Amino acid sequence: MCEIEQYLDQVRAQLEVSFHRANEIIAEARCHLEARARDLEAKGMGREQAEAEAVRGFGNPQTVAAELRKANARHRDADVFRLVVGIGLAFGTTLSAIGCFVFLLMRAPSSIQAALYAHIIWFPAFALPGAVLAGMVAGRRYWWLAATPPLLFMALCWGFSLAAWAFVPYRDAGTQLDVALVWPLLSAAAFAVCGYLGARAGEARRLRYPIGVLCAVYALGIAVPAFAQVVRNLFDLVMAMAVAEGVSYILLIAAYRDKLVGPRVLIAGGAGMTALVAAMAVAVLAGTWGLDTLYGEGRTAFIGPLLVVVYLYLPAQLVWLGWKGRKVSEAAQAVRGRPNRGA
Amino acid sequence: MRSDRELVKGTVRLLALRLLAREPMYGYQMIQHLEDRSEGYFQLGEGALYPLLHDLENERYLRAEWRDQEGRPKRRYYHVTAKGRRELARRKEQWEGFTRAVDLVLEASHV
Repeated sequence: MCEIEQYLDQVRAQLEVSFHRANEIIAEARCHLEARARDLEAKGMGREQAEAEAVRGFGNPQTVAAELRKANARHRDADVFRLVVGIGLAFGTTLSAIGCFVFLLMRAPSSIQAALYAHIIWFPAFALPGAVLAGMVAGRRYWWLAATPPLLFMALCWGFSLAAWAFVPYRDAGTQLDVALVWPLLSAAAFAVCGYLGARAGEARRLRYPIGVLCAVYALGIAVPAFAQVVRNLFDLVMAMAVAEGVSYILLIAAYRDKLVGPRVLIAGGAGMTALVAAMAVAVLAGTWGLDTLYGEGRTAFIGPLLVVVYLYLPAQLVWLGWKGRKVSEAAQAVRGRPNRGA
Repeated sequence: MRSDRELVKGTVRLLALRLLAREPMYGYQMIQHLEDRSEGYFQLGEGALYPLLHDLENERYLRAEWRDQEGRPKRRYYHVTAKGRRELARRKEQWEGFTRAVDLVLEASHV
């Protein structure tokens, strides 16, 4: 690694500001150091000597980082506020769908076991890569914030399971309660670890974007079998879509923090996703109710059209994520100061 | 002649605002301008300039934007806001009052 990059890594490690702000500061410093090194080269110095001289002129990395940290203290607070608002919005998106989900369960209490299965298996499967992404967004100082939405959600499931155990008698209630009690604790640890690892990965230039993309791909990889379950359990479909939207929304927050989209897009994105998932839930409910009313055992009659919708929706979401990933990648390239290959 | 560190520290905010009030500039360009226009008197520590610029940005005296350059990495240009111009006028007035007073004392001391 060249001397300028080594120097910038040392400064970055001590900045203790948000991910986005650190990117800006480092990009600015890199621009300065490279311009200085070019000037020195033009005066006849060798490349290595010019870099060493440019770095020396910039100052001691500890002192520079301390001054920059002091000057950017306000950004830390603002970023935490933005992060909390962003994650709150992301979680609100998921919760809105869960509200519809609970409503569905109230109409069909016999499906509680299936619903718990969906909560316990599918939600962590989606939320863990989400926690990694959120940790990357939050940075090392606030990595623990990444775990708050899934933890809150698990707490909701916990309460819901307790209520189910208390009020709805069914055969395996005891087992379900055990699971509901233990699982949130295990999840808490898993989410916290993922958030922390995400925060650390976010600091490493080489890891940041590949891991971000991997997390998104993994979440979608989980989404496909979840969608394939549609024939078996329509509630899983709504659940899976809700959580997939949550993960997508975390990407949108990352884009917002990289100034690729503005606050209006962020809010509109959250509202749009909530509306989409809610519409799906309502469609499932209305379809089930309507066909049952008309044809008795007619549940399977609308699965075909529903699958068409799902299979149209999935590629659309993949395209959207790909587009967003490309924008993030372009921004990263610009920050690193290398030309964009795809642009 | 080398600059006195304490003296420079007190005036560098004024100089930065003055430079940027003429035209938007990026950090490295500012250092070169300062050095050229002061005939080498102001040789700022390069790493010290950015905390100062970020400070002024936080106080909303400056705004920064990334600008594309052909075949080169983007550069972060700073420009003075309306609030910054008011601050510049205030500091300039303060400075002129200060130098006038110093001149008066120095001239009186010669007599």
